[in-house]
Amino acid sequence: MSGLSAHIVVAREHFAVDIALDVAPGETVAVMGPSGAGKSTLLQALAGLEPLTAGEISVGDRVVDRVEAPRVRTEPKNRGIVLLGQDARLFPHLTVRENVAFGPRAGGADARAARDAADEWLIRVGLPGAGDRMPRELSGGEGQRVAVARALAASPRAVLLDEPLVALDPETAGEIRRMLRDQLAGTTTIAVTHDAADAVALAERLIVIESGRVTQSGPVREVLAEPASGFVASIAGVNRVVGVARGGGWSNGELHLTSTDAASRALAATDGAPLVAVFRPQDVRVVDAATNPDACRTRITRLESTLAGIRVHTPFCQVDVSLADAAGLAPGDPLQLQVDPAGVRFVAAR
Amino acid sequence: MSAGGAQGYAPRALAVPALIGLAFLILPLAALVGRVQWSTFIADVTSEAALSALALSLGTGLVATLLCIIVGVPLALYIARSGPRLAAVLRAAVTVPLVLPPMVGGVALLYLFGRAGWLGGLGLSFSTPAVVLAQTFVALPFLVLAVEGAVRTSGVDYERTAAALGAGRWTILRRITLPLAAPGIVAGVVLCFARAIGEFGATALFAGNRPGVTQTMPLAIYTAFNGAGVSQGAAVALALLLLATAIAVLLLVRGWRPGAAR
Repeated sequence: MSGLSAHIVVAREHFAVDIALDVAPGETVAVMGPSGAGKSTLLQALAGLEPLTAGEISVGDRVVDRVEAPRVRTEPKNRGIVLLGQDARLFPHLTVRENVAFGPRAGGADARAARDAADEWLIRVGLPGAGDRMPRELSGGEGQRVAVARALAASPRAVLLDEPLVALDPETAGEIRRMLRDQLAGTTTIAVTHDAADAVALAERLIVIESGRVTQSGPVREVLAEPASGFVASIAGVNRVVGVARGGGWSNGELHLTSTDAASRALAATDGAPLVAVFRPQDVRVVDAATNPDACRTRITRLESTLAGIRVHTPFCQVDVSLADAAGLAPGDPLQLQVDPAGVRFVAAR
Repeated sequence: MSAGGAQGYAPRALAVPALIGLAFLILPLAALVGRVQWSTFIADVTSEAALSALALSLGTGLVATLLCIIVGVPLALYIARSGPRLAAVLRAAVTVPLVLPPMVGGVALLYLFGRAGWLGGLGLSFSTPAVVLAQTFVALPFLVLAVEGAVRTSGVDYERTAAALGAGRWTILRRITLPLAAPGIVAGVVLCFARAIGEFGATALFAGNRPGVTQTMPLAIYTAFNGAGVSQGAAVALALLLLATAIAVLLLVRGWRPGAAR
């Protein structure tokens, strides 16, 4: 039994997407990747709006798209896959109730029953009694709630989310995120997002796509804790530095790190093996060279203001320091860093 | 739109040519109304010739508009959803009758449907159906272009959304595409009807000028001014009636705003 499984190959001039993914029934999988990595192409192909060059898509054990013989090409309306995007795309000429009732009515449901069901859906997404309003009277968050109700009322076999929260303010986005998590429980979902918080809140698994290929996948927190690429490190907000195992620790030139994590130390046991050090900018301390002769020596390239204080960029890693500690720092200054071994993890380089 | 809030930044001096343009449109109509002989107005517009011309105009105009809707809306949909190159070719083809002098259209229709024409066997020329065909020929482009613009502007995104929700093509057409294009369709139908009842040149050449059969209001007015059939006073009265009909249609459509009643 499968919720949704697909091998999608879409070739274009200068650009090719080749992605295989498998989503269990009722599971939510988050998809992240840099702009232009092929996330939108993936969703368009799944929804049937983008023809495949090769591959196959099946939803709930039914093949809806296959390039190889016997060729299958199911129209979007018969796939049972609904796409929810940034824009709620509510039908502007229909009331909220008729918007939500659209799917069931198109599927042949009795108009009155469909409208009653629509009112129930509006209650579930937190908009009781909004049925008679017109889409233009709704705020952005309310529009997304209606879009979710409309999508789920059509009893889809799979739901695709294409960054449905980016156009909303943070507070509204938080509310909609909670509502999505509650309402999508039990629905096979693929959620494309730019925000690691969305992935953690909504999904069990995370798939990372870069340049049209899957570069990393697994349980969301595991992927974020063991970034296989600079992109994943950046969304997880951690430093990822490539080096080699040396003397039970990690080394890169004259930089040397150790870890207290047992699994990490096991990885570092083989001298010379390529090794990646992962640590948070908060776990890096700026120290005095005189009292810490073994500190990493580096140089400040850039200072950046953050909510918590100042982020210091160096060729080696990023360091978070408080506003008080940042006083007197300037780009070009030498800097001695020490990373708390308790905050360092080693990951095998791929 | 707030009152006075959307004035923009057009130079104030443009008001002068704007007013001249407006006066140029309004003054001739005022002159027409000024020439109406009110003492005989009722008798003029209720004369048998006038009434039969009015009935013929409204009847043929309505049938022609209906024909335009039946073939024009599908044609507009097809053009709107074609690729840019094909759409440009089709749009040009649809525009030709629009820029063609109606007289030429009448001649062309005569060569197609006239007794010696390719479809002469149908025996349509100089009959009431010929009036309808002439009106359809000149009015169809107005409907097609207005509807095509509206359909193209509303795009395919809502249609895609509807398809993803499980709607079939006919359902999408009925519940999404046409309602979204409703303002354009209404505008197109109004233009189409107005053009149809005002049609003169093509009708005169292709359908002729037989009272009660092919003599529509414009032909009756022309005939009256030439001093045959009805009097010149009646001609002015008929012209006023045609004007009133056009304004009535406009007001009727303004009153029915698509979407507002839902």
